[in-house]
Amino acid sequence: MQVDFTLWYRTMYSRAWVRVRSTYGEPVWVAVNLAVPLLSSLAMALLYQSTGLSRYTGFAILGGVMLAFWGNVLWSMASQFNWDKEVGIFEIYLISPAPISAILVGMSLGGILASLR
Amino acid sequence: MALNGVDLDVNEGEVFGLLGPNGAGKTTFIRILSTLLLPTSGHATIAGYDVAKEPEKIRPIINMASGAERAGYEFISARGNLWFFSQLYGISTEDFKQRVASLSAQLELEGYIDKKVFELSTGYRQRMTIARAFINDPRVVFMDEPTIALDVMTARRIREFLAHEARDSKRTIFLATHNMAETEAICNRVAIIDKGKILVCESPENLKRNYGRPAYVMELSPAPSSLDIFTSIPYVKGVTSTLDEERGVATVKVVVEEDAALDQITKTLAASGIRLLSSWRQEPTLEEVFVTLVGRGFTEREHENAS
Repeated sequence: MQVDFTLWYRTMYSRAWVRVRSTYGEPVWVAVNLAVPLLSSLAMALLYQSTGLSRYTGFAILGGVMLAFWGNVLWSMASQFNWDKEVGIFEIYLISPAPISAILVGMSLGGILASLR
Repeated sequence: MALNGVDLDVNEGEVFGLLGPNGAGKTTFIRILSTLLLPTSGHATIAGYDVAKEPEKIRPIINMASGAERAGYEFISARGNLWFFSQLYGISTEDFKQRVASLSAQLELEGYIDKKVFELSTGYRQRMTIARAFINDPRVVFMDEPTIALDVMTARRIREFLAHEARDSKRTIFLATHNMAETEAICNRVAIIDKGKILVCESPENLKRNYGRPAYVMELSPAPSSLDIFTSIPYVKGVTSTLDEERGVATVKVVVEEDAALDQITKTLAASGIRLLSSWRQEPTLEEVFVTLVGRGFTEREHENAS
């Protein structure tokens, strides 16, 4: 199968752009995306300290950050994909010549970029 | 079976209406033609390409829009959304700018194009959805209830736009709708579909001429005590009546199979001592044609089931 790389790149880039712009379009979401990982990391650090494993607190914080990061990337991706399906945008993807792989890569890349910002 | 024995040719530059009750097969028909569903038997082509074997050749030249869908991503501007959807077709930035300027001018969207979608009213969201369906300069566009829940002026603007796009840009537009006025206003031909079968496919004018029945509306005083005096007259197919008690005048609508019934109606009124204050002939509407055809379909099926 021949792949149109220009189309693939444009689709991937634009879907990533949508993900980043949507995340920062609503200030409440930004606050939630910051607060939830912070609270979960804090909870894990406190848990480790209360069980006498305070020397591992650094790992707990690192783990909390990674969980929050991948949770944001993957969970948000799944929920956005579901939202696209529910509101009819998924059908627009399917009838367009855009490769689905580019849409998926764009969504996840957008999620990573939005989380890193 | 959702569709059975459907055989149609639709021309370039034609607005083709699909009318049918819920569950008639309209959506299945559009889904097959738009490459979302594969037909279990038979074949369909768009611009000469087979929908089952060559969907990758069809997708760049088609698009679709529905009145029920969400316009796009809420926290992104209308222009941003249109740019995103244009990228699904690999459209360059220069071409996109030209297309969006032209579409927003035609749909009177200029003042709203940089607003976020959640800030737009229902009418402007729908204008954006319509603009999205034309962003890739498609040859064939599928529209499912595009003016549902819109005010009169917005619906009219969208109809004018669709008619213009078909006539001047030679696009083929499939319009699935329940709105008879919309069908009459812009469709070159209409297929009435029920239970997966095309019952009839003609221009709205021919449908009304061939399947509609005219009616005579009469203002009568005093009001007739019973409508039975009309139903016994040959060629009378139905009678309805409303009474203006203040004036003591009844407005009676008599649906006739042939105009010859009118003579007999006036004689009957004179014999009953009822004065005919005024009367006029009412042309059949597409809605009446639709009810006649779909109603007949139901009756036939009931008969088939019973036997």
